[in-house]
Amino acid sequence: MLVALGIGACSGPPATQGTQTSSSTTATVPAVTPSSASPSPSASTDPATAAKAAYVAYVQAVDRAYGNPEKATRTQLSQVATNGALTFLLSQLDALRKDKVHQKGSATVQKMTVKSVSPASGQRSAQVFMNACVDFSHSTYVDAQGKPYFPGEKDYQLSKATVNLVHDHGDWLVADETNAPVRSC
Amino acid sequence: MLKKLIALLTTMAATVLVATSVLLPTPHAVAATSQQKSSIDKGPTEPHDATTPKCNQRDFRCRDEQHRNGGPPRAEPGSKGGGGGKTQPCVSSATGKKLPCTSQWGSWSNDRQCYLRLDPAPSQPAPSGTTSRWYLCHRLDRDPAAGGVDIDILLNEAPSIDPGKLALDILAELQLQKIRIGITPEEGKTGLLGLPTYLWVDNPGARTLGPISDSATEGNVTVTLTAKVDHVTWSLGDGTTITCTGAGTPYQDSFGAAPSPTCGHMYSKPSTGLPGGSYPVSATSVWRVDWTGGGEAGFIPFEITSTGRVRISEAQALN
Repeated sequence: MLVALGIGACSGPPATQGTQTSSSTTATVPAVTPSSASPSPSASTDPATAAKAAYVAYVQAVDRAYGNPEKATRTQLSQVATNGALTFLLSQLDALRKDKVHQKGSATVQKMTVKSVSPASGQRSAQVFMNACVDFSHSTYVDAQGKPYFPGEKDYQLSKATVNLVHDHGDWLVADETNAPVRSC
Repeated sequence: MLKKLIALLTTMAATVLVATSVLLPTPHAVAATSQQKSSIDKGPTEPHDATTPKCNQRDFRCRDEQHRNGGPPRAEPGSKGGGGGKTQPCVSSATGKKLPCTSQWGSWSNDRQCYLRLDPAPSQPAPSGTTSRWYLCHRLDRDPAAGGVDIDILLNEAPSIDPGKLALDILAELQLQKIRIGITPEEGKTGLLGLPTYLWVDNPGARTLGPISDSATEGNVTVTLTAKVDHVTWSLGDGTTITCTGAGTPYQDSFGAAPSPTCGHMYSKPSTGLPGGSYPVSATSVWRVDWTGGGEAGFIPFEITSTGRVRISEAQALN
């Protein structure tokens, strides 16, 4: 998974797989600029931090995919999403391709709050649930000529996302995301 | 034995339902229902008003439909996208192969690409003040050597719970019983030709005649089932079949040679020449089983048969 952020990313299993824990932390993530020079997180990165990084990577990957639906692939998206989230994205990309529409600009994760961390147990994957505030004010849909596809519609600003990430083969993947427009987060 | 019988009959009833009734959704229809319901999974965390958009930014399909129609979007805010409403097979998007719509892990969700079932032991409580429940999303495409993995998912809607199947579960739990045949002359004794034969249910009760009712809840689907014997069909072994409603009237000595006021028969030939020297008698209790729940309703054909023998002679009855 391509995750290279200031707050780190996960490339290994969560360090704490013991007793059930539930933590609530808040992290404010500034506008993120991916950089291959960023240090990779170690395997000891805690699940909450790794999941936050994975979500930011997910948002960026979705931006890239929506920005160029014709070239977006399932393989790319499956590096950041799985389960219902992946299915949702693929269906959206189909629609974008069909209408020859793409996204211009990108979203920014403004805030993430981890609601719970569940370690793996039996067949159960390790999971993280978090809330996030995503700023879409610099993101819009345009047609092939670059014209706004939804002219006259109210601009989208902020979205409150409820996110479920699962630890899957060493990566944290977004399995489910609810993204509801809000006026403030 | 009885449980086996009931299980068998229940299976037969299920077969009849699937084969003949349109009241129960087919497995594919169930899956489609799940998909439709999944579009309202996990409602928005904040109410919407005229100042907030109806579709989330990532849901292009929703926005597109809203834009084209100038009306309500196809999906609710915060949802995963459009419903569609078409009946679809259960398919793994990874392999393209069809899958059983139900399995030991629950009901397949094309939307989430996993089998969903209620989490019997969630690792954390569902948020208070909501109808959300924790489900286990069992994925097959990861770690198949371990039989797949479970992922906790918080859902507002129960995924693809089949109320008809739940009704069958309730029926099995009720353990309806066959009737004990009440008959004169009673088994082991010999009756006289020309005297009336009384037929009745010797063990009347809720589980033999009903009415009996029970409910069960799975997810947020509650099914209530009511069972009652509609009639008992008596086969008397001499080619006569009669149908009686109710339990019949137990014979009393004071009735003498009077025929049964509710359910009886008069043999015209002795049973002496028959195998065992007696008439084979069977009583089939035909139940009317109705259920309602999950926005649906239906009935389940259900029958249980009891058997016995009756000896009729021209000679003086011998004890």
